[in-house]
Amino acid sequence: MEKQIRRMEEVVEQSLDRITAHPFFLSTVSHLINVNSYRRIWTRKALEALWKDLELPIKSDQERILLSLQEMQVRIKGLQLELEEKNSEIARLKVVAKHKRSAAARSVPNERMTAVNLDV
Amino acid sequence: MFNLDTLLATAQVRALEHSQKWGWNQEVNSTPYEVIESIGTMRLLRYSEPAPHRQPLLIIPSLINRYYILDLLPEKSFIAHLAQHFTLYVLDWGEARDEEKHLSLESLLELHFAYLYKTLLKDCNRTQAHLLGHCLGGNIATFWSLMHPQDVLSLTLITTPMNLRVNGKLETWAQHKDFDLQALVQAYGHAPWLLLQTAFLGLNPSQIWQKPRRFLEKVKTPQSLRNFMALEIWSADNRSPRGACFHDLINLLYRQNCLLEKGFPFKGKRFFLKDLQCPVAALSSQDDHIVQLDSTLQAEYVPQARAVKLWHSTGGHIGCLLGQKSQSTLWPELVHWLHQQESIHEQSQAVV
Repeated sequence: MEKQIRRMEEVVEQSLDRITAHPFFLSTVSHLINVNSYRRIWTRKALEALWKDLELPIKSDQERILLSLQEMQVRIKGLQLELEEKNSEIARLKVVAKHKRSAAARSVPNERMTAVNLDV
Repeated sequence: MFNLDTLLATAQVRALEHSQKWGWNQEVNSTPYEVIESIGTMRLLRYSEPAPHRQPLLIIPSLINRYYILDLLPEKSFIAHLAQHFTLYVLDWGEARDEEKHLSLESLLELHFAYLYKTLLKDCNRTQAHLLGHCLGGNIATFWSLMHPQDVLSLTLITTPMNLRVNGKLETWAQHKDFDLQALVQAYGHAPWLLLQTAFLGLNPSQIWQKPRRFLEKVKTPQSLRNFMALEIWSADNRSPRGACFHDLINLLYRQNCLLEKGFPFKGKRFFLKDLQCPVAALSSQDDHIVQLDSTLQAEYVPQARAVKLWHSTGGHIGCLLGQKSQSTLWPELVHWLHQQESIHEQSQAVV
């Protein structure tokens, strides 16, 4: 009995595989999905036109504005990161410059001392 | 108006609520993490603290399913395993908001992903990171590795389709001339998860009767019931991918086979897979009915890569990574390979 069930399952599986890869089936399903999509698009467009006639903001415009805001937010955050990097680089350079200055300042009195000693 | 998708979405929410009530999902996605940054509903999660001896690794999950398949149960958690060896970050795509349906793949890469990647590098104070992409997330990782080779230490692809000119069912469906993908995305905003799940079911229709039979045959202990429920909770938790982004991905990958043929277009330039230079590893499975073995990465596609490692496993699209055998052999091998690439890179840097 179990063998027969397995065999039947295999046959059904093979048939379903053949059907789902058949050009006629694919065309039909594609057209069904397309028709449903077009129906939704047309309905929405008609409603949007009506809404626009009443001078009311439509959802897709609001969505585009929100997305632009989100993109702007990402750009600003990215710039903030860059600014932080630059600031830390400037701080690092300042420290290096300060070290150089202090090293130079330490070397100047020594030279003077040498000069004074020479004068003497 | 009666809407089948709304009805099923409600059923999905109810099922998840019940799973919460009965405590089935307590252990699912249980590895602790910290949210480092978020943009809209997209989040960058960190699973382990940065340490000087650990390189960062970013996981880019599939755009269609939730990321926590990689952290399904504590003893089966790929994420927990990687978190022991790397400073681990995971990108959670989140539930797309209505406005994000207009977000194109180019904007996603140029703005959102670029910012999150920069944040990651700053967080761990590094200049490079390992990238690991799962399914279509692998394609995003590949695009990024081609565009920013200097930022990527290595690229690992888990069941990622590369050559979409193979004779697979999914490829045939996506490339069918009568199917208007643009209209679908325009009509629904996002790519409806219900349609995608139906398509996946259609790839292997025998699942419909095999699943209950497998349940009766195999689920006999509390442990196996726990495993079964965890997988069911994950598979019932679907998200619709962002419309414009999904359209771009399917168009570029499945219809134009961009990585191998026309090149991935980005800001007036075209990027080809053959130019990939970083070390690449890929896992594929002969039993995977979603991404066929022939369509995954082959060594000849990446002649310039510094190292190529290919693993061929058994098990389905998910099982090939999370199966018992993979846990004991593949996971340590992957970690070893990644560490090997780190040391090779360090040596080359020292020479320079």
